[in-house]
Amino acid sequence: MTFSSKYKRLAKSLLHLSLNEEGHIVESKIEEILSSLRSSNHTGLKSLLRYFYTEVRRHEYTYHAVAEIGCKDDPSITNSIVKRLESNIGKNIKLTVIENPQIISGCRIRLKDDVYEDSLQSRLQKLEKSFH
Amino acid sequence: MSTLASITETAQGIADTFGVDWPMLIAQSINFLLVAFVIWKFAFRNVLSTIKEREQQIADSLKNADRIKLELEETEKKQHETLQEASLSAKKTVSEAQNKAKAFIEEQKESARKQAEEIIAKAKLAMDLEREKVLAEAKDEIASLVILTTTKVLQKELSEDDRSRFSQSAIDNLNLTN
Repeated sequence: MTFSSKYKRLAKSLLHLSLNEEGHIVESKIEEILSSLRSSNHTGLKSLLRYFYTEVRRHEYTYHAVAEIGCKDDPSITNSIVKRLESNIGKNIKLTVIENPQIISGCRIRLKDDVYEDSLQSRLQKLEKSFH
Repeated sequence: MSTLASITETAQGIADTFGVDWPMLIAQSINFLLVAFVIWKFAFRNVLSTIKEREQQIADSLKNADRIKLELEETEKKQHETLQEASLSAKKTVSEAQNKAKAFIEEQKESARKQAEEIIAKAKLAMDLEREKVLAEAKDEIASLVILTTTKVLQKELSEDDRSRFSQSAIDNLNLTN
C-alpha cells in the first residue's frame, strides 16, 4: 500500500469524524482534528492535510447546495428545498439560502455543477428570447 | 485635115524662127542626165529613204497609238470594273459594319438592361434585408423595453406574500431531473 492511498483513507476517516449526525461538516470538529494533528507532529502531515482539504471540498461540493430566493428567507421554503433535493439525490444536503431581489420571485438552486431555476427573472428572460 | 495642116505649119514656123541646134541639144541632154543621176544617187535616194523611215515611224506611231488607245480603253474598262467591284465591296463592308454596329449596340443595350435589372434586384434585396433588420431591431428593442418595464413593475408592485407564494410554488414544481 502506498503512502498516498494510506493518506487518502485517513483523510476520508477524518472527514467522517468531522460530520454530524445529519452528515453535515461541523467546523468545530474540523478545528479539533486540525489541532490534534498539529500537536501529533506526524511525518506526512502536509500530505494528509492536503488530502483532508480535498475531501472536505469534495464533500462541500457534493452535499452543499446554495439557493437564491426572491422573497424573505422562510423556514418553510428552506425545508421545502431541502426536502426536494434530499429526495432527489437520496442523501442529506446542507443548504445555504441567499435572498436575491434580482430574481424578483422564485428560486435558483446550485448543487454540484447543476443549476435548477424557476424564477420570474428567468421566465422573463425566456420570454424576451422568444421575441427574438 | 485643115487643122492638122495648120499645126504642122505652126511648128515648121517655130522651128524656122528659133532653129534647133542638135549637138547642143544632145550635150545638154547628156548633162541633164548626169546631173539627174548624181542628184538621184547622192541626194534623192537619201531623202527617199529618210521619207520612208519617217513614214515607217509614223505608221509605227499610229499603230502604237491605236494599240495604246485600245490598251487605254481596256484599262479604263478594267478600272471601271475595279471601281464597281470596289464600290460593291465597300458597300458590302459598310453594310456589314452597320449590321455589326447595330448588333453591338443591341448587345450593349441588353447587357446594360440586365445590369440595371441586377442592380435593381440587389437594391430591392438590400432594402428588404435592411427593412427586416430594422424591424427585427425594433422588435428586439420593444421586447427588451417591455421586459425591462415588466421587471421593474414586478419588482415594485409584487407584495412579499405574492413573492413567497410564487417561490413556494416554484420550489414545489421545480424539475430536479437532468
